[in-house]
Amino acid sequence: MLDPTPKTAKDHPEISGGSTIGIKYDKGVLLAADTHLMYAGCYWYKDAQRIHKVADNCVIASSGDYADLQMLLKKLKDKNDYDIIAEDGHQHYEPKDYCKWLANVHFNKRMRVDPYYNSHIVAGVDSKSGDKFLGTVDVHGNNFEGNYVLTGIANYFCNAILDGNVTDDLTLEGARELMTKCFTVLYYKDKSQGDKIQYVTIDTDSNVNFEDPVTLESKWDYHFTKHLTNDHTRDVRFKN
Amino acid sequence: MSGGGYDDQFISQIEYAQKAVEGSSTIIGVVCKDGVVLATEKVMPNKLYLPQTDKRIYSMSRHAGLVANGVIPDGRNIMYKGRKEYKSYGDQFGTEITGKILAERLAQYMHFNTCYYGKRPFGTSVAVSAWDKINGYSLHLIEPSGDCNQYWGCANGRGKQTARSELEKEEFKETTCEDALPKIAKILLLSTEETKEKARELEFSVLSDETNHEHKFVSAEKTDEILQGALKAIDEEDMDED
Repeated sequence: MLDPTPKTAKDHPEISGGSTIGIKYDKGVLLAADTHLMYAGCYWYKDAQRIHKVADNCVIASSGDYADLQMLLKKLKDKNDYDIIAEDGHQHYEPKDYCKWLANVHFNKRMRVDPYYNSHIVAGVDSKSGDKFLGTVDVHGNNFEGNYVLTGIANYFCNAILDGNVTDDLTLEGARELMTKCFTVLYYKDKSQGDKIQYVTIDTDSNVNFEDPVTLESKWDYHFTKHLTNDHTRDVRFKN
Repeated sequence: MSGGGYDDQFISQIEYAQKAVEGSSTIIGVVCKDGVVLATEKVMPNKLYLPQTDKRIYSMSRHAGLVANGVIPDGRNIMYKGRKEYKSYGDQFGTEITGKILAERLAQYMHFNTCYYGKRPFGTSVAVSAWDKINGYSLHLIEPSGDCNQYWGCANGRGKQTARSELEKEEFKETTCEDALPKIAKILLLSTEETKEKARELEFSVLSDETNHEHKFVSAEKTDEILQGALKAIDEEDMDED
């Protein structure tokens, strides 16, 4: 007899991370993400690493479901391992290939109506030509490249900050400044974003540098935050 | 050459498989002070071959390699099995497979092929080099029968007698992999003197501290250099004897 219950799949992420941002600067690519994971919209883990190295010249930063990410990282590791041990004289996978592959995996899963709930930023340097690469993949398998790319709610808050400011001669300091600005805005505006940010750079010589997380400066002791009441949410009839 | 059956205490299919191994190229595995070296020699059967086309050393994972002789496609089958075992062990236990378990599983696989009517033994013997966190470096040799032993120096193939006695003479445990390569090349060439007239090629792989515990092939240029060096050394020795 046929099973009367239809096949179901998870329709929301369980433990997930917030936005990530990637910016190209003159001599490489800068990635940043906060270190918080949330469960049901609350902080759950405070020191999670959300930027990972998948090959010697390739790094990914991911927002969305952390378990799905761990699964994908495992697949990426296998892919990288088999790529290296093959020693068939063929060149190795480049960041562009990893990005395309991730997009295919995401598209395949979403067509099965059981998507991986992640969006990724893939950054790296082409080992042959030395070109910088910065691309993004989302839940549906959309795949873009850009001078700067965003995942998550940063798409709504940070385009205005970055648009026009990410030029070819942007220095690392400049990129970092822009990044700090973006994450400060996100921290103020988005409850799911933490204030501990990890920066990762990958330069055109394929040096990957994972920095220790830094805490953002923020100011909360404004008059209106100190004396904040919920008056404005109250029903009119409770007012005098 | 008829099929199966017991001839006294021997299974003739296995004997045939071992014959295939004994007639083919010599393989050598050596554990050195800082790692493991795999090596093999081969006679180019066809002058039209491109150099380096006939590969006999393969990686099973970042930290494990294998060299096969006899029927090379059989050896490749073992290699693919090894890759599968490496992956499934990692998925199951969340840690990398040790060299001993990997070699024993491959041996078991080769042994199973001697046990069933519809199967045939593998016509290959393989030397497995591996590194793991628990036991460090290890070297195993598996015979077509599924016999698996751990060695500090092993040889099989047509020159195994000479190679084994030469290996016993050398103190490889005190040598680094880098220094051992020319010595191993010399042993390979000495053990197969009868093929001296034909075009020969060597193949090496190193798994050592220097390669960051990873199984790496020695490049074609360096292999050629070592081969020429070894040929020269042998010639010089011959001159001295004369």
